Amino acid sequence: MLDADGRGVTWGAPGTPSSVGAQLLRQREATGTPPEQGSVATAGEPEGAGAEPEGVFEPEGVSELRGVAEPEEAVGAEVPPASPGAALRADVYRQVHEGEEFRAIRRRYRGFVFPACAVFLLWYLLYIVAAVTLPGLMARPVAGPFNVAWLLGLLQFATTFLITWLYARHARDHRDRAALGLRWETQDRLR
Amino acid sequence: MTTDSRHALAVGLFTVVVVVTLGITFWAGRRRRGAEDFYTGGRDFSPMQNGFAISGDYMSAASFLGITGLIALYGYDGLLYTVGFLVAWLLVLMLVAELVRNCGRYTLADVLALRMRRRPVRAAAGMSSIVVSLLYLVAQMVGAGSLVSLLLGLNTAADRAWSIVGIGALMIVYVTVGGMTATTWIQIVKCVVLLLGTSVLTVMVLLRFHGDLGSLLRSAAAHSGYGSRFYAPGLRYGGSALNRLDFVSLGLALVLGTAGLPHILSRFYTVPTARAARRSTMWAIGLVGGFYLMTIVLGLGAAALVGTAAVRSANEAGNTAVPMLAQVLGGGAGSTGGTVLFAVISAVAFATILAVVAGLTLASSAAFAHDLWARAFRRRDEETPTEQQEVVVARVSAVVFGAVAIVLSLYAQKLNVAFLVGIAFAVAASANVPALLFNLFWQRFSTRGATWAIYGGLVPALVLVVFSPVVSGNAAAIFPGVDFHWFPLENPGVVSIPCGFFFGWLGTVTSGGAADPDAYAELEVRALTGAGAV
Repeated sequence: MLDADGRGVTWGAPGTPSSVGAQLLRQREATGTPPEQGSVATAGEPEGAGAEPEGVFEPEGVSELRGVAEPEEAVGAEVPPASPGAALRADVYRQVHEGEEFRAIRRRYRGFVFPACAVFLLWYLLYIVAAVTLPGLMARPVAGPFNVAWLLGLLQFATTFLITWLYARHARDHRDRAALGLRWETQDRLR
Repeated sequence: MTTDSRHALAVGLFTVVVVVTLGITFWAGRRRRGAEDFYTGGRDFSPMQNGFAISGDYMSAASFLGITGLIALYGYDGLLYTVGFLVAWLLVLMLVAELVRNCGRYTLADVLALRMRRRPVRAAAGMSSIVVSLLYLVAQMVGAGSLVSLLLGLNTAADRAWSIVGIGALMIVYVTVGGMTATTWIQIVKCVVLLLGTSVLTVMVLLRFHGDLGSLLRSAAAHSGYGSRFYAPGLRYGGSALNRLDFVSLGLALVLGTAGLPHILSRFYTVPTARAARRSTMWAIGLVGGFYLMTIVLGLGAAALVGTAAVRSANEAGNTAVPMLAQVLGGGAGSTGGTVLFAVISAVAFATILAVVAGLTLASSAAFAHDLWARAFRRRDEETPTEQQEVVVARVSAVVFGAVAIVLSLYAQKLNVAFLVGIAFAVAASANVPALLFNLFWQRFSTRGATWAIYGGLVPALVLVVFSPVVSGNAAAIFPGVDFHWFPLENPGVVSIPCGFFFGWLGTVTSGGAADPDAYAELEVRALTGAGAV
């Protein structure tokens, strides 16, 4: 289960599409759940809900079985959730979203990527603006025929590799494990 | 060897490329049928495989032929392209790859539809994806036309046209028969072959100069006819202030555009998890970075060993610099080594073009079938088509887009391939990137904001290109005889990208109701944890 890549973990495996679709249909018919809300397809599902595609996406075969169009106004404040399942599902996501665990993941993610993006974009913009506005500086020799322009260009390559490595390390050390745990937990609660 | 045998060898190698790729296609097409397989190849590729496939998608004819040509013709200014193309991946890595993998299913529009009213955002995102892919396709096919005619010794306009038609027909077969599985494997094979070919040439260039980069650069400058100006920026984008602004515009488009390319985004759906998407991006950054470092050496080598004047006289835009360099490295025209190396490198470039056009055709047909036909173009009470029907439409639309791209390419043959790609990037950066980033990171972002962001970037970008010097007003334009240009820049990015962000913001703040906070909560939880990901 701690295969951090998520491979071979049972909840990642897609269900058998047609049987899931048929099961959903049967369940809807039994409970009287209106089929218009495609986005609630999995809430209230007794088993295997975490094992099938959720969200706006329907498992293969559901749409043909249901015979209804994709909901047009599935989200938006003005459209109240049409079924208990949708409300439940929204509740779960809201609670997870407000939970400290999720906030910590988001804080760590944003805390790294926003500054890192700002730095590399600024550094890149400085480089291209310098390339067109400061020809004198750029042409200043550094070593042999290589000048400041070449040095800066190769430094761009170097910083790209460096930031890639730093980001991967940061994600691995500070985010992956917590995110995987929360994914598990959220999908568990959505059943 | 004679010219005839040289062409015979090239024809033979091209045939090998065609046979191998078709073999992959039919092998892949035999195995799988569903929509998941057609659009994503079953989501079962490993990060390394996908990293190679992403690089295969990205290291296009534009990079291999266009950038080396630009470096051979303009020295340092060609290198500026490679920096932009590479740095752009940081944005994909950090802000896009993992989140898109977690939120979407097949296309860019899926990510928007997760929390927006679906029909309008699908219509907008589907449309802009098709436009970007078509522009990029045209760029690749222009490269294909000039390459194939050079390699096979076809000099008449009719021959060039037929070679473009032939490549278009092949790509249609790859996509319609093999879907994403075949496309991915073709890209992996092509990426390996391309890296091998590039490495061999790079080593040969370095050996020629005894590993001394300084003497390579000095020799390139000496044979370029520009002297020391070759070392510094300004040959292509020097001169007037407008010309310099044009370059900044291009630079912006390159760094932001990659994150909005539909065929790159859809690659993240071919791996099972977000972490695998991240690791494929890291593979891609390593491979792409190494590749661009080698193209710099090749561009300088072409200037030094072939000579800028010779490169320019063979193809005004420099698109044939690499094969010419291969010929010189092998021993020169007429020698056996030169002939063989020329033919081999040409076949590598040919494989490159075939793989990239297949990826692009697939992306545009997915956008049409999945976003427009099956969803956006339906009335609310209408039945959503089955996945089988959707895949049939995707296959048919691949044929149509292939045909459209062929026709458009026939009109754009004088333009540099890398430069055409720059325009495709500008459109992607203006139309897709603002909507995508706002959607992922701005809670208030609304449906109106999303559609305004897409159209507000797409329309200015296209209008500015139509009225730019690229289309009319000078001898190198698509319509050289007429002049209706009023926009001075060749690349619209510096105006159209801020437009996309501005209209996204304006549409959001003028929307009546606030965006649903619950929908954003779901998107954010899914994006960062992978809960509920397909």
